[in-house]
Amino acid sequence: MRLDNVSVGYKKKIIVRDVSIEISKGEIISLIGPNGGGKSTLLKSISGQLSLLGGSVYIGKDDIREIPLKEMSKNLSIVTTERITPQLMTAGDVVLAGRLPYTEGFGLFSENDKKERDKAVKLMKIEPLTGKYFSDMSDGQKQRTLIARAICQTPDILVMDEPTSYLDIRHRMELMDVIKGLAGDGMTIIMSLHELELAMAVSDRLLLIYEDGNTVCETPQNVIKKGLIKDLYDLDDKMYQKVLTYCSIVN
Amino acid sequence: MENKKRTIYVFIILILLAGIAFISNICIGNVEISLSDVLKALFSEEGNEKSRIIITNIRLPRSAMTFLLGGALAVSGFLLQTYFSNPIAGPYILGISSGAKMMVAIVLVVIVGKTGYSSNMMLVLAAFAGALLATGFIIMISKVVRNMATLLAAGIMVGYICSAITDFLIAFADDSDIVNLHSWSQGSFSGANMAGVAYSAVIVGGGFLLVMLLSKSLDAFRLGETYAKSMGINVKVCRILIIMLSSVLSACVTAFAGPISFIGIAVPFLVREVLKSSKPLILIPASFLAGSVFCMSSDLLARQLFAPTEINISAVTSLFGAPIVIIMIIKNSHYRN
Repeated sequence: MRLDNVSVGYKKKIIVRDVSIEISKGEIISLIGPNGGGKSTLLKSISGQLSLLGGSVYIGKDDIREIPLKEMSKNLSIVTTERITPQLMTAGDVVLAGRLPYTEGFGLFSENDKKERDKAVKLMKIEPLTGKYFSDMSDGQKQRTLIARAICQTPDILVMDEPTSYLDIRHRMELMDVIKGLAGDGMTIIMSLHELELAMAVSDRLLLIYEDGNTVCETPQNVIKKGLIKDLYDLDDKMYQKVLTYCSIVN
Repeated sequence: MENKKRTIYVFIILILLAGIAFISNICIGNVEISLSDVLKALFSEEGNEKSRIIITNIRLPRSAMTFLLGGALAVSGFLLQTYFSNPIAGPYILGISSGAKMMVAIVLVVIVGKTGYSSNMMLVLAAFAGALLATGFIIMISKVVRNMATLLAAGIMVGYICSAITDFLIAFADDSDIVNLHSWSQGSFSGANMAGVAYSAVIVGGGFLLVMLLSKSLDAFRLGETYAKSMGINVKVCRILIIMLSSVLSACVTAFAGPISFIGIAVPFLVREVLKSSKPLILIPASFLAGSVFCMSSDLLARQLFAPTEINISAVTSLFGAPIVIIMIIKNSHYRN
C-alpha cells in the first residue's frame, strides 16, 4: 500500500495533510498521537470509507478510487470504533459475515467459508462465544468478535481503529501476538493505538500524527532516539521522562 | 443444526397455514360452499352454476389478492426496517400508505371524476408516486433526527396530514365517488377482481424476486452501513433499491386494497422471533408467507365477524397487530436497559 500526498478531513476542512509513505507487505504500522488529531479520519480515508481531500492511496498499482468495491473488500478489511447492533446474530454469524465478499448471488456460504470462520474464531479464542447472541455479549467480547470478522475476510491489508479498546490486559497481549502472527503470514496491519508501550513493542513503524495535521513516520527506535513523543503529545520534561521509563519497563 | 430444523418446520407450518387460510377464504362466506363443490366449480363442468360464479368472480380473486398483498406488505415492512435500522417501521406507521392513498384519491377524484377514465396501471403509478413522496419526506426527517421514537412520531404525523387531505377530497367529491372512495380509503379487499390480481401478481412477484436478489446486500446491512460497504456492498445503490422496492410493494397494496395497518410492522417481528434469526434469505420468504396468512385470516374475520356487514380490514389487523407492536416496544426498551 502506498500513500501519495494524502490529505484527509471532513467536508473541506483538512485534518491530516500530505502523508506520503510506502507500506510493505506484512508490515505493522501504528498510528499514534493526541486525541482528536485525525487518526481515525486517516484510517477511514485510506480504507475507502471517507473521500480523500487530496493525494491518492494505492493498493499495488491501483488507486483505491478505481478499485471496484467487491475487489476492494477482498483486499482490505476494517475494524471500526462504531458500535453495531445486529439483531439475532450470534458471534459465529458475525464472524462468518466476513466471508460475504466471497459469496455469489444470494450470499450462501461454502464449506471453505465456514473453515475460514473456524480459523478466525480459533485465532481470536472466541470458541465459547460462537453460539451467543452478539447483543448479549460484553464490549470486550464484541470487540474480539469484530476483529475475528475482519480476519475472516482474509484481506491483504487489515485496518483497525483502536482494536485494543474494551480489551483487558490479557486480551490486549493476545491480540498483539495475533497481529504479529498475521503480519508474519504476510498481512499488512495498519491500526491506531492509544497504548504507546504496545505500539512500540509490536510495530515496525509508527506514524505520528500531530495536532497541526503534520505527520512523521519512523521506527519505534528512532522515535525514542529523536525524542519525538515529547512534541507529539506536548509533554513537559518531567512527564516525558516518566513516559520513557514506562515504555522501557514494558519493553 | 438446530436452527436449520427450526427453519424447515417454520416454513412447513407457514405453507400449511397459507393453504388452509386460502381454502377457508374460498369456502366460507354468506353462502357456504364445500371444498368438493369448490373443486367441481373450478375443474369441471358439473356443479352449481351459482357457486361457480361466486367462486370465480368473487372469492378466488379476493383470496388471491389477500395472499399477494399481505405478503407484499410484510416484505415492504421488512425493507423499511432494514433501511431505517429500526425494528418498529412499516409502510403504514411511517405514513407511506397514507401518502399512496392520498395520491390515489387525487387521481380518482380529479382524473376519474372528470373523464371517467380509470385503469389499474394509473392507480398503481399514482400510489407509487404518493409512496415515494411520503418516503422521501420521512428520509429527510430521518437525516435530522436519529431518534427512533421521534421518527415514528413524524411518520404518524405525515400519515395524518395525508389522510386529512384525502378526507377533504372525499368531502368535495361527487356522491357516487364517495361510496367507493370511502370504503377503499379505509382498506378493503371487497372490490378485488381477476384483472387486479393479474396486475398485483406481476408487480408483487417481480418485486419479491428483486428483493430476494438483494438478500446478500441486506445480509451485510445487518452489521451497519460502514461494514456493509467494507464487505463490497454498494451502499448508496442498495439504499435506493430498498426504498424503491418497498414503495412499489406498499403502493401496489394501497392501489388495490387501500391502506392496511400493522401487517408490515408486526409480521417481520413475529417471524424473526419465531425463526430466531434475522438472515434476510430466510426472513424475506418467511415474512411473505406469514404476511399472507395474517392478511387472509384478517380478511376472513373482517367479512364474517358481523356478516353480512363487512368491517374494514384495518380494524382487524390493528386489533391483532397493535398489541404485537406494544410488546415489541416493551421488549426493545427492556433490551436497551
